[in-house]
Amino acid sequence: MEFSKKQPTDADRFLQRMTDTHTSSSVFSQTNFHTEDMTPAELAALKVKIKEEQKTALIRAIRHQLQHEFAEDRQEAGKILDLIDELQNKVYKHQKRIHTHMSGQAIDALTEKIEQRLKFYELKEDVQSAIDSIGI
Amino acid sequence: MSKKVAQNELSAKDYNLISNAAYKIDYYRISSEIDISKNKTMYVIDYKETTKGLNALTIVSEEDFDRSDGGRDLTKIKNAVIAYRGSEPIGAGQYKDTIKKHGKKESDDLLSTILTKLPPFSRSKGSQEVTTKLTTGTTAYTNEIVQDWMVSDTKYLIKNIPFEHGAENQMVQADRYAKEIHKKMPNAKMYVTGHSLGGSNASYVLVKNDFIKGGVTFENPNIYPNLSDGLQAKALKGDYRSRLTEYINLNDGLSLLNRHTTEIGRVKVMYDAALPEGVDYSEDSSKAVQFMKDLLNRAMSVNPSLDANLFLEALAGSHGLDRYAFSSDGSVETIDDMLRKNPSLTAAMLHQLSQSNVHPQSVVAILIKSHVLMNTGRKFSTYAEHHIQQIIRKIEKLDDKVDQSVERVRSRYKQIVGFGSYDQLTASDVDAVIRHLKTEGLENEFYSVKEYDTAIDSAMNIKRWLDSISDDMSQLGKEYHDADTALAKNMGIS
Repeated sequence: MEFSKKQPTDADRFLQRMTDTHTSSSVFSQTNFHTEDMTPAELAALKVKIKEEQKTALIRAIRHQLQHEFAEDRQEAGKILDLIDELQNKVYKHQKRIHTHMSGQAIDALTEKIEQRLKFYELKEDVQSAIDSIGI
Repeated sequence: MSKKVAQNELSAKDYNLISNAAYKIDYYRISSEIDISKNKTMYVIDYKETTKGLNALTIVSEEDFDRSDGGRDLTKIKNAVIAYRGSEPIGAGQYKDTIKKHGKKESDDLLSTILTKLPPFSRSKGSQEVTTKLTTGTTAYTNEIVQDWMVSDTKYLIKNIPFEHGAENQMVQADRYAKEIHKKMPNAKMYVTGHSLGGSNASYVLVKNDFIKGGVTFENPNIYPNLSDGLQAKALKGDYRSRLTEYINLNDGLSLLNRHTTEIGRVKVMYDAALPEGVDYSEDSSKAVQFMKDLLNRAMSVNPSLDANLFLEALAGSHGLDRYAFSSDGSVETIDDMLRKNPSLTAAMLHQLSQSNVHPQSVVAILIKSHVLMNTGRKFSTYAEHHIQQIIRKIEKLDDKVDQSVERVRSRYKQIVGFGSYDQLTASDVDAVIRHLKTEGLENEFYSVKEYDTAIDSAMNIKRWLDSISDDMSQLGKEYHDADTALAKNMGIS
């Protein structure tokens, strides 16, 4: 039985084989299904059943594929955290240098401002939450 | 053919070369030629060598040398420079040469000799053990060093004893020699120079005698505490600033000695390219060196400007005129110049500053700190404009990334429906499936818009504070620099 209206290329067939995750264990998709003996009503019902099953398989396949893509996106986005760490290290290095070698009211106020205002850990938490939210 | 030169044309580089020449025994004869910058030559017309450590050369330009008939008619001389010889650094090579010259084998002899000559400090039992190995045949050379370093420097400069309390110390002799020269050449404008202890001699001679028209000294202790009340009062008024320039080196303990008190002349901090990151403070295991450090540390209670490590570093040879770099006009490259040209140096200088005994509120400290703050302010500005901006851009792109992934999947599945396993499905089914999956996600997206917005706001907030701190820091640095300029103006320092 072949319901296809589309003429796929060899590449399309290859892609389908590579991305297809549903198995051919469904009774409706068995190649030896005898449609010749069916009435038009039975045939229509069968087509609906097959379509439903294919759609379920498609959902499962697309979900799986999106999860894979999003995992890669999250991994790539993790580099933002590395950039924040890098910036934090640079800023703290300056702060430590000033704090160690210099003192005075204005200097102390400045180093305090760096400590209190540049909350990199909060930024990291916020970015991490945004990254973690990527998914299904 | 050498060019003619007048003293008022001499640059800092020339004074440096002249001060250096004062160290060399070969020049201590009449008519010796001393090469200075721009292929010019000066001539020795008088010199002084004493057993008390004072050594000085009086030199004139070629023009004056000719006019005075090779120094035979000194009244015709219009300009003269007296260069005082400084202390001998006990550098390893130099020390070995001395030992060799005097037939000594034991390398500890010289230091042991010096230790036995130290007058003002009591010794512990442990330190006595170090000094028991004494040399018996003290050489003329070691006598000179002992005289220079351990009597003049320690006694007068560390303990801030007025020079006038002694009749035979080098400074008093230096003054006497300048007066003799002035008598011999009454029509000459006189200038002085010198390095180390020689610089202190030169400074003292300048403040003592109005006939000295100018002076440039290198790495000498500040002699303000050694002046009489009358001379100190004049120094406080700034009477000597227009005539005297003193170059100091932050790596050199002698340069920094007494720099916590009023400055007499204009003080400039040279840039020491040989030790851009300062002196290595790692411990020397040698008993003798440790003893010296202990001794000097005890002396610090007498003089807060004394840094035992830097003082010993000077003794060991980090105290030379060859460490100076000059601009094309012959002026010394100062720390201010170098920090302006090379901001990365500021951190090293700050480190060096904190390791040395320079007072944190001193002009030198303020100058370095001003550069540190201004440079750090610029760095923070860069972090705000580039680093955090880059982070913001990457966060902002998160939603695009998600969209791109979704579109990639959509496109792929649209390509593989309508045949084979998906022969009952069309492209619109793929859209429907993705729409369906999207509704399962946070806020009907494949990411949380709320978390995404919060992350952007958080990064923008950091950027605003980086900008604000950068402005504060630059402003503070500028005000430090202004304060330094104002202090320099008040104290004659630049």
